[in-house]
Amino acid sequence: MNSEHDTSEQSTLAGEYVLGTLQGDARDRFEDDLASDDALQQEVAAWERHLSPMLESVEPVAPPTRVWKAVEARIEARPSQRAGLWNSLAFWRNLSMVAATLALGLGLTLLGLLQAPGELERIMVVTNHQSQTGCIVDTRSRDSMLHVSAVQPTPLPASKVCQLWLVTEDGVLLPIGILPHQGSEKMKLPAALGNDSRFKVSIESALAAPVERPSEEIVFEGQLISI
Amino acid sequence: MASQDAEAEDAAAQRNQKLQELLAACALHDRQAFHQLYEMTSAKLYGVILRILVQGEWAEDCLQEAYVKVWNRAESYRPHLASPMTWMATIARNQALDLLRRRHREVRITAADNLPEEVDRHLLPQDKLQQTDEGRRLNRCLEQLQSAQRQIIALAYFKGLTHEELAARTATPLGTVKTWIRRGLKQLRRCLEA
Repeated sequence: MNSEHDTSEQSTLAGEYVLGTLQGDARDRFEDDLASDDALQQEVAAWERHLSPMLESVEPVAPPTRVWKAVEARIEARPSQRAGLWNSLAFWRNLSMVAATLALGLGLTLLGLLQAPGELERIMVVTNHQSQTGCIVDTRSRDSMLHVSAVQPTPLPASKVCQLWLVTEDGVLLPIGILPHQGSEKMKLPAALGNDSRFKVSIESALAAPVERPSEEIVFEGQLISI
Repeated sequence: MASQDAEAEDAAAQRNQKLQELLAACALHDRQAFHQLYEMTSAKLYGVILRILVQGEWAEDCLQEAYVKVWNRAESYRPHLASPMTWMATIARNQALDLLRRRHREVRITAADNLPEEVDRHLLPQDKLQQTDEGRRLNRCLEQLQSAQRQIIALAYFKGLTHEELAARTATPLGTVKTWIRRGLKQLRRCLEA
């Protein structure tokens, strides 16, 4: 009962925060809590979503063209790539989202996979930039290949591709192949799979790939799980 | 009529999908995608900022700041938490409210906002709120509040007023304003999630 009361209290506080009436010390304290509290972040997001139709009801007004020029000048001044982005696994991976998409995209793809010849043995979901199922890597009883199927791959500029790597026990990365943007592909394994072999995905220049060593930072890592 | 609605919903879903793709490309530092995103959304965001700030010159700076934030934060956008438009409009609103707090609230008041009876018409135009499912739901739930409660919530949302300022603006005792807001939010939440 008490926790129910607390939950409703937290929700109202989140509402006042989004509304803007939570100010001063109380606002600072709330923001401190918010930084580390997932449930509170969800409350805030829910209120933003609930109240946002008020913003969407606003009449659009075309801004003067000088605003775009100013914005463009400011983003041009930044380095074109921040190292942190590629390293940010949270950006690529969000397990709860993967669980949610398992029901949808993956379900449909699995349906197709299960009808494919050869029994599925192990499977790995490579998430895309929005933490949804980007592609599925699996092994089957029939052959010793990796089967890679695109679901919703991360959209990349034409000059870039995603390359899949097998990590050896000594931590050396062996190139496997380029993740397909649509359809499925079979790929030869560069070494025998261990029970807990790990895989990585890196972004490479489309011109040079497949490369022998990863030239840019790793955007995904994971391992096959038995099904 | 029904097929028109379905068409409108299709178009909205497609637009939503497109905006998600553009944001994803922005996270990968694709400037062309960012320009397209700006073209598709800047009039809406500018409208939001003007509703809060009223003054054009500051609104332009504010819009600029908002888009720089959109670019810098594109990687943290989470499609399961908000639509792209909600996410961006929220950034624009927060940017404008921050500016208000910093500039000591000099820019807030317009003649229309000063008259309580104008608040509903000006800040919560019914016909506009009725355009999406979420808007219709919010409108229905706001209608269930007392009109004074509804006006205070709209004033707070668009003008970033404190409890004290809301009390002064609407000639309502401070304690009443606080209670109205808390009760109003609880009631809204129940109604929105029913």
